[in-house]
Amino acid sequence: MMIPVLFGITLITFFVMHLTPGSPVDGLMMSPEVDAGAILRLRETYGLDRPLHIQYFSWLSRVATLNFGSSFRDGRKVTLKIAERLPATILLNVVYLFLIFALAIPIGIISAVKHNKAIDKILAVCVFAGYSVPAFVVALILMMYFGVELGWLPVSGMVSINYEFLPFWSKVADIASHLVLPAVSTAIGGLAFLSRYLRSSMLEVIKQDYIKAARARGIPEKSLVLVHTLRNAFIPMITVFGLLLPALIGGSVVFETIFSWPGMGRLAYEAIMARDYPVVMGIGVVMAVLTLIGNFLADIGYAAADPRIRYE
Amino acid sequence: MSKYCMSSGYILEAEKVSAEYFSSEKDIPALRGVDISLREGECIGIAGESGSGKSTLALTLLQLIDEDEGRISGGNIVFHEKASGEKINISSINKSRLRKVRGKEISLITQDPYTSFNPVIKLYRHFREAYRVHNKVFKERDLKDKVSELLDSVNLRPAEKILNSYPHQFSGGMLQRASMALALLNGPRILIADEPTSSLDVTIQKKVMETLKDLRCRYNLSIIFISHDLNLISEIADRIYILYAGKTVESGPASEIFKNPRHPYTEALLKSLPKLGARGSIISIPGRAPQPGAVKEGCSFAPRCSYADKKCFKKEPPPVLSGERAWACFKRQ
Ligand SMILES: Nc1ncnc2c1ncn2[C@@H]1O[C@H](COP(=O)(O)OP(=O)(O)OP(=O)(O)O)[C@@H](O)[C@H]1O
Ligand SMILES: [Mg+2]
Repeated sequence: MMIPVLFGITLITFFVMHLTPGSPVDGLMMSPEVDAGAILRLRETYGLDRPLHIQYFSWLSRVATLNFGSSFRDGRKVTLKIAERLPATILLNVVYLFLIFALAIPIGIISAVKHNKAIDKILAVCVFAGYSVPAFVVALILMMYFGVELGWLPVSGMVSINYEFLPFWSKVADIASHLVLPAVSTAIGGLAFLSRYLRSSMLEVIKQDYIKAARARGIPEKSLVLVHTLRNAFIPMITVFGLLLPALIGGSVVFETIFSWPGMGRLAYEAIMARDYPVVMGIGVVMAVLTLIGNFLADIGYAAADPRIRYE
Repeated sequence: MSKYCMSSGYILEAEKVSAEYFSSEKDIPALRGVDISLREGECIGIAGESGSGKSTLALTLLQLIDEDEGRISGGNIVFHEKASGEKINISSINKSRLRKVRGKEISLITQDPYTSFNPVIKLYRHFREAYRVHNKVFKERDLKDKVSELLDSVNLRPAEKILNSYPHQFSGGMLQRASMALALLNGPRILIADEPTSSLDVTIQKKVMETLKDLRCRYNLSIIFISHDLNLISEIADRIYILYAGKTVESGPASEIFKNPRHPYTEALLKSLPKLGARGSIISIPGRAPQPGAVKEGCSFAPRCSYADKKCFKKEPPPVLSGERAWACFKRQ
């Protein structure tokens, strides 16, 4: 099951990438110092002159031995380039994830318990406002206001210039302050989805007869909501979590680029722009593997949370 | 008809209870002024076709109608506290007092036992949670002993294994017995059983009924037994209430009603009963039970009644009282 999926994803990535106009040597062509012969030789060394399917299979056979090749741009190993970008992305996304769950869970619970009351409607308007404004616009507004206008928070990168010379705790504070804007901007878009999802999931559970049965035993409303309803409403959220995993580690192309966050999303953006095929393909494989792992973990999590489901 | 441990004091009295469900057009009046009373140690049977309001009555007695779905629109429900001799008006006490009645004084078991348990929580936690609500401090050991004893009395063994299982690991009959044990955990004086056997096979139905009768004696329970099956009701009930379209059309001692029904509807119900010992009954009376809300003026049974005349369609018959019996029919005065 996993192998064909992996195969399919890389195949699509490969052909889409190659069908896009432009090639890695375009940049060189503009240069007056490079003659046509040199470009041809370059294409030959990279194997770009061969038919696409041959290129794909030769890439595939190399990947089978875990050799992802080197970047066209700086000749460094693809694995190394990806590995050095991973920590920044993971850090950003763990913070993002924490933030979004920390906000979505209470909002979801309150909206469900007070459904169709004023507070539910106010919350709905708020989260949907955040959802319907394009996320990059939100990001730019936050940048303008908190970064430029008020000057409270840095608007780009992960560390300040003088980071090297700071004592440990100032380093932590420095990174934290750089994290705020990217994490908040990313979270605002997903908040509507997650909190509304939890709300509807909880409303579904609250209607169930076993909640009524528990109420008939004298169980107070607080435990009904926090123990019985939330626990069951959370089960479908596990799937959502599994779907989030690739994005979590793959990083967001848009936000990492806007905030110059040195993560994998921005690496992907740079590589695509430069038609740096090996890097793009390498990231493609990472994403494919993550997607599969995400699905797998979601299945396991689902089975762990719901005793009615057991996989052989 | 069983004569168990009767004494004459009332334990629960419900008077003119009405409840309605919200619907997009007109609210549905599911209960339209029902009176019932229950004596200490007595078992009353509530009979009626599907949609007559039986479950609504059960829920109303514990104030369990969901706020979003409907409301209790009138009536008084008075519970007689044993220890203090105090009367508790269930329909007007506050939420926290109400919680002390639910499960502690009055317990409910429902038709489908799978819907009584949270599917992702093991049985023991259900018991523990229910016990903790009503007993602030307790020893784990004492609870375990109590639960084992209860499970034993409903013929579920071994307790350890049962309590360590999830609801879906049980058969319907076993789970229904577990739900009885859970309902009795806090020593309630009243058990409301809403069609406790209708989701079960006939053979298992028998066993569950035996268990219920057994529990009744052992724990000196007063029972409100709800069923559409008069045969089942006749096995356990001392008195019967016949519900039709949200109203009581007849009530009285079970033996008398079976021998000599007064209301035409009761009569029709009894006629349509399959012989005792035959399979579970399907009540068939010409016409269909009215949708609540579709009930017009006059007697709600009139459209299906072979005795009905003009008057029956115009005015609602007031109850006729005779000793312990009551019925509402112009034709049987
Ligand atoms: N949650 C609800 N929302 C709207 N209408 C309801 C709801 N529950 C019950 N009703 C309606 O109220 C009426 C009485 O329902 P109730 O469940 O009390 O009947 P019942 O006698 O228990 O029937 P059954 O034998 O099918 O269990 C029915 O017409 C039903 O359609
Ligand atoms: Mg019912």
